[in-house]
Parts: sequence; structure tokens; C-alpha cells
Amino acid sequence: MKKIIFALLLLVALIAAPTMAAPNPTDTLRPVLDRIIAVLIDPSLQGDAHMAARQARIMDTVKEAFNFREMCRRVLGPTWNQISAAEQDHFTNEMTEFLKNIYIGRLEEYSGQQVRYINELIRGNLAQVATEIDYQGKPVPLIYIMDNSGGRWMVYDIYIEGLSLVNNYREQFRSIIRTEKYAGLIKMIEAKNRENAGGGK
Amino acid sequence: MRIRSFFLFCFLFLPVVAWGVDIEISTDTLQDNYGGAVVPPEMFGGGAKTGAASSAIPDLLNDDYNDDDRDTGIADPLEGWNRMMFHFNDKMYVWVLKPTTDVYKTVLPADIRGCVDNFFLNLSTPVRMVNALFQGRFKDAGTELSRFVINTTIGVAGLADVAEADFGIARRRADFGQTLGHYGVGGGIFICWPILGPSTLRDSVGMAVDIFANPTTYIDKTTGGTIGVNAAQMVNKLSISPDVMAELKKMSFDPYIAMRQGYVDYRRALIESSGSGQTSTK
Repeated sequence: MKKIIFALLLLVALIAAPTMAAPNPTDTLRPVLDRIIAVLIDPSLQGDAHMAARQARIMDTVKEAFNFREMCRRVLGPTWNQISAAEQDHFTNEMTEFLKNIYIGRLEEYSGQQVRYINELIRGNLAQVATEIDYQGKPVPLIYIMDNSGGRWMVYDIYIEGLSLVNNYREQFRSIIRTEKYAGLIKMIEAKNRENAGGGK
Repeated sequence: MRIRSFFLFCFLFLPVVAWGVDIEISTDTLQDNYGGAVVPPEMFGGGAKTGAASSAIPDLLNDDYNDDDRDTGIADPLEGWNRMMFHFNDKMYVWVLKPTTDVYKTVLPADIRGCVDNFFLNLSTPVRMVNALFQGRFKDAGTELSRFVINTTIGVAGLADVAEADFGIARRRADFGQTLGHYGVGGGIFICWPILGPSTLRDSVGMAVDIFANPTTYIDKTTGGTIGVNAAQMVNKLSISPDVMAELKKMSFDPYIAMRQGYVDYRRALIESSGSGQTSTK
């Protein structure tokens, strides 16, 4: 059995040889998630008074491992290539702001659960890292989809219980673009950001 | 009548078949609990088990999932009607069901509501077990059976989920819509039902079959009784889940599409995991 595992690992290593120069996806992701958790449980950053500082720290860490531009490119689909470079930057900024408001707030519910790394799969420039975290006493599967085209493994999508973040927003945007065009869509995102900025959480 | 005797046959006979498998699972679950969390990559698709997420991790890197311009193509010819029902459910939830569940929440403490939930879930075990069997997931069927036995006895008629709390045996999800999907029946058109919420043509048929097969349907022969039981079940479900609709609105730009896509992807993942994950019965 050990021999088989060794042979398989060797095979995996050979296939993955070109990508081996960079650390593997799990090794890239793990320290980042560890640091986010460290910020969440840091006693000096607890409470509402430190919320802004805490969220800024988390966002800085998140940006090291999450490629928001790639995420946005996939969310927009074919429309991405039809807008100007400046519009692409603007869209990426607005969308990053939106995701920050929504998801960083949700991280506040974290209460010391362990992230379990189940496995990883690499194919060419893409990889998926399957993890699991307990939420309300039940394990929830969380799969990170990563891309290595920039020379470093960066997350561009997350699957939670089979639901892809990118895919869900893409379908919404596709329908909005059909009726409102890109101009209407970006206005909606800007409006949502103003609304969320007022709401705090 | 015929179908009914078929289910009766299933309930009576299949537990005997599943029993043999059952013993094996219990040890399996224990091993998983004590084994390390990291599963080597060669076990991909081999049904890596930790807790309830027992299904195999899907390969999300294939073109099916990763095509940049892929069209998920959910057939939604009833979109106008569906959107109306979606808004109806939204209002219904805010104006009728939410106050009801709020009262219910105030009257009953959380642990008793948990008991009610466990009780109904335990009673519907045969539905999940038979569907797991139909899908060839013998291990999961056995797991459901052992959960039923443990919860009905030690858990006092299913009021407590001892199987999960003390034995670490999580509930398996299996319904008839999933069974149909397992055998290649596509989802068909998307339907948003009033009160019941998102579904597809396939899952609606599945839902009807499951309601028919569910023992709670036969608690009271009168229609009123059946409605009463179902309403109790639903109010209970709503009172436990967080304010999903409000959350959905906050997170999305078109809540209807977000819900539709979410439902279809969730069901697809469930059906795919039932196909690949549980076939390896050693």
C-alpha cells in the first residue's frame, strides 16, 4: 500500500513538475487562512471599536491570496472584453468593495472552528483545494478554486455546498446586462456599495 | 394500492438487507473520526469522509465547471410566473410565516423546537433510506437505518438526534428527485412554488412521491390532520433557519436569479455526489 502511494505521489510530482517551482495550492492558502483567523481571534482587535482596523487587516491578507481581477473577469463573462481597461479596473474595484462588505462581515461569526484541509487537485494552471469548516455544529464543505497563471496560486472562486460564487453572480449579471446593459449593472453595484457602507455590517 | 404495497415491502424487507452493511459502516465512521483529517490526493473521488460532508469532492476543474463562457442554460419558460411566486413567498414569509414562527419561537424554547424537528426527521427516515437504496448508496441506506434505530431507542422516539450528537453518524440526504437525477432524468423547467419555494419539474415529482411515501402523511387520515402536521413541520423549519430571504436580498443584485442558480447548482452537486461518492462499498 505504501509503495502504491509513493508511486502515485511520484507520478503526481512528475506531472506537476512545471508548477512545482511555486509552493503548492494548499501551502499557499493555508498560511493566508491562518493569518485571517489570527486577526479574528486577536484580543487587541476585538469589539466594535476595532472593527474598521480588523476588517482592513483581513482585507490586506485576503488580497494576497485572492485574485479579484480574475474573479471579476469570469463574473462578467464575454462582457469583460467589451468594456475598456478603465472600466475593467472600475468594475474590479466596485466588485471587490461589494464582496468585502458582504463576506468580511460574515467572518465575524467565526468562533474558533478548525479549518480542515481535505485534499487538493491540480490540473495545468488550475487547482482546487477542498476544505471543511464547522458551522452551527455541521461540517460545511468549502472548495477554493485557484489559478497559477501569474506564477503564484491565487483564489478566484469559492464553492460552498456546490454553489459557485462566480457562477451565481455571473448568472445574475448576465440577466441584468441583457436588459440594463453594462452601464445599468455598474450603477446597481455602486448603489449597493453605498447602501452597504451605510449599514456597517 | 400497488405502489403502497411496494413501499411496505421496502420498509419491511430492505432493512434486513441493509443490516449486514450497517455494522461495517459503524466501524467505518469511527475510523474516520479518529483518522487524520488530511486525505492523500490519490483518494480523490474515493469518498473521503468527514462528518456529514461524506460525499466525494467533485472535480471542479473540468470544462463543465470551468468554461469561461459556459451557459448554465436553466430552462425557465415560466420566469414571469416564477418571479411572481418568488415575491409572493417573500411577502408571505415576512407577513404571515415570520410572525407565526416568531410566536412559536417565543412560546417554545430552542431545544424543544429542536426536538420537534428531530422527531419529524426521524419519522421520515424510510423515505431517505429507500431513496438511498434506489441510488445504490447502500452504505448511506445502512447509515440511515442505524440512525433510525439509535434515535428511536436511545433518542426516545426520535426526539433527540443521539446518532449524530453521540455517535457522530450524520443524516444522509436522499430524496426521490435525487433518485430520478441519479438515473439521468434532467431537472426540466424551473418552478417556483408558492410557499414550498424553488424546485424543478423533476424535483416536484420527487417531492410528491416523497410526501406520499412519508409516514407522517398517514398520521391522520383526514386532510386537516395532514395539513396540520405539514404546517407544524414547516413552521418549525422556518423558525430554525436564519433570515435567509433578507440575507439573499443583501447579497445579490437579482435575488430571483441568485436563488434559481443556487437551487439548481445545489441539487446538481447533491446528485453528482450521490453518483460518484457512494458507489465504493468495498
